[in-house]
Amino acid sequence: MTDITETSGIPTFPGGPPHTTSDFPLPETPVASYALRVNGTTQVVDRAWIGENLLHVLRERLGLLGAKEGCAQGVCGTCTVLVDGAPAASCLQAAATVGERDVTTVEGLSELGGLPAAIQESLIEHGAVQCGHCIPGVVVSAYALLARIPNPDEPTVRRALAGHPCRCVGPNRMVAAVRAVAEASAAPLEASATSMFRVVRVEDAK
Amino acid sequence: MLPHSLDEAVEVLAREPGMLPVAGGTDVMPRMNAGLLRPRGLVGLGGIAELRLWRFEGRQAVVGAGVSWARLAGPDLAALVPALAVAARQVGTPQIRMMGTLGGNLAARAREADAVPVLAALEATVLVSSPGGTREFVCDGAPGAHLMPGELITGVRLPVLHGPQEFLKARTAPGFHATLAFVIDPGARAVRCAVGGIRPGAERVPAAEAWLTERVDIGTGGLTEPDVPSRFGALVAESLSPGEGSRSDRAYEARVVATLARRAVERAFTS
Repeated sequence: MTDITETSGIPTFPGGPPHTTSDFPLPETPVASYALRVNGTTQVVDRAWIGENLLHVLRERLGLLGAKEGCAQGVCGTCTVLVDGAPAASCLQAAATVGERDVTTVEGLSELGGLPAAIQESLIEHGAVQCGHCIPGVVVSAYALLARIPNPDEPTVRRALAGHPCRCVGPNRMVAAVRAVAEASAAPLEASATSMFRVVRVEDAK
Repeated sequence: MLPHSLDEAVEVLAREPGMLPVAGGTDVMPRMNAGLLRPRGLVGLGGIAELRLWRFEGRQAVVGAGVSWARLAGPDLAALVPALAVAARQVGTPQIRMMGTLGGNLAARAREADAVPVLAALEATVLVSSPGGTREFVCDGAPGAHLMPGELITGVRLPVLHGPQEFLKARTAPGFHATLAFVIDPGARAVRCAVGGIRPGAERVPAAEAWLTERVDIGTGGLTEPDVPSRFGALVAESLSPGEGSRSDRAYEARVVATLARRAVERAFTS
C-alpha cells in the first residue's frame, strides 16, 4: 500500500484496474458517496465512481485484501464474499447498489474463529493450498455451505465449490477438506452416544 | 440510486434517460469492469421486494423479474416450470446463480440467455412497466428488443403445464452453448420447441413442432414410429435460420441441435 499517491484529494492506484475514479478524468464520470455494511460495521465510501465493483471498493478503498481479483467476469470465484449470507462474486456486484445488505469478507469470517478457522486449517492439512489465490473464496463458499447444511454429502460439496476452479491442486483436496470439517463437527455427538459404557475423550476417540 | 418501490424505479428511469437499471449485475458488470459501459447513473433494483416474489394468477404463475437463478432452481418453482429450473441449475457457478435474475437475462439481448428459449417454448408473456402503465407481450426469441426506452421488465407470466418439459444444453465452441427447450402442452394438444445459443435470438421451429404433433399421442406418451425422435431432430436442425459461421461450424451446430432435439423427444415420450 506504499505506492498510493494523493492527487487533488482523490487517491490514484498505479497499475490498478481501468475503472478507478482517477483513470476517468472526464467530467462525465458520475460519483456517489454511500455507506456499506461490511463485516458488521458501517463504512463510508466517499466520492466513488458509481460503476466501481464491490471487490474494488473492498480492496482499494476499505483495505480488505482477502478477496482477490481474478477474471473480473465472475468465472474464477477468487472474489467471493457473502452478501446477506450467500456467496456472491464481488467483482460483478456494483458497490453503489449493495444498499443495506450485509457484506462479509473472509476477514470477517476469520474473526469468528470456530467453523471458518476449522475450514482454513483443514484446507492446509489436506494440502489444498498451493499458490493460495483461490483459497479465500473457497473458505467463504465452504463456510456458507456448512452454515446452511452442516453435514453435506460429497456431490453437494462439489456443487457448492463448483465456482472455484483451482489450477494448482484441483478440486479433490478442497472437497476432502470440507468433508473432513463436516465429519469432525458431527463426531462429538457420535462419541457421546457410544461412550455410555466406556468413557472416552473425543480427542482420543479420533 | 436505490429505490425501494417499483413505482419509484420506473419514475426515475423515465425521468433521467441514460440511467441503467442493475439487478444482479452479472450481465452489466463485466462490460463495466472492462470500461466498455459508462452509464450516467445506476438504478439498483435489489431493494425492490415486489420484484423478488412469485404468485399464482389463475392457472398461471407470475414470477418477478428479480427472482434469481438459485430461486428458480428451488423446489417450488421447479415443480411448476421444470424446464426453467433445469436451465437455472446449469447457469454459471453458485455465486452467479445467487446474483443473476430472470429479468436481467431477458434484458441482456445476449444470445447466451438461457431463459429465452424456455420462455419462448412455454409461450410465456413478459410484463413491463413504465410511467404510462403496464403492458405485456408474448416472449419470442429476443424479448429485450421489444423494450421501449424507459420501460422496465417487472416479471414473467408462465403457464403451468401438466406435461413433460425438457431443457438441454451442449457446448458448441469455447464459451458457446446450444440450448434447446421442449415442452408439451396437453391442454392445447401441442408440442413446442425453441433453440437458443447459436443464433442472435432464440428460434421456435413451428414446422417441426407440427410434424411431431401428428406423430405422438400426447395422452399416453406414445410415438407412432420408433424413428420419430431422430427425424424430429433432423427437422429441427433444418428449420433453423442460416448461420453465419464457417461451413464446418454450421454443420457441427446442426448436428448438436439435431442431437439435443432427438434426446428431448426420447426423454419426454419414451419412459
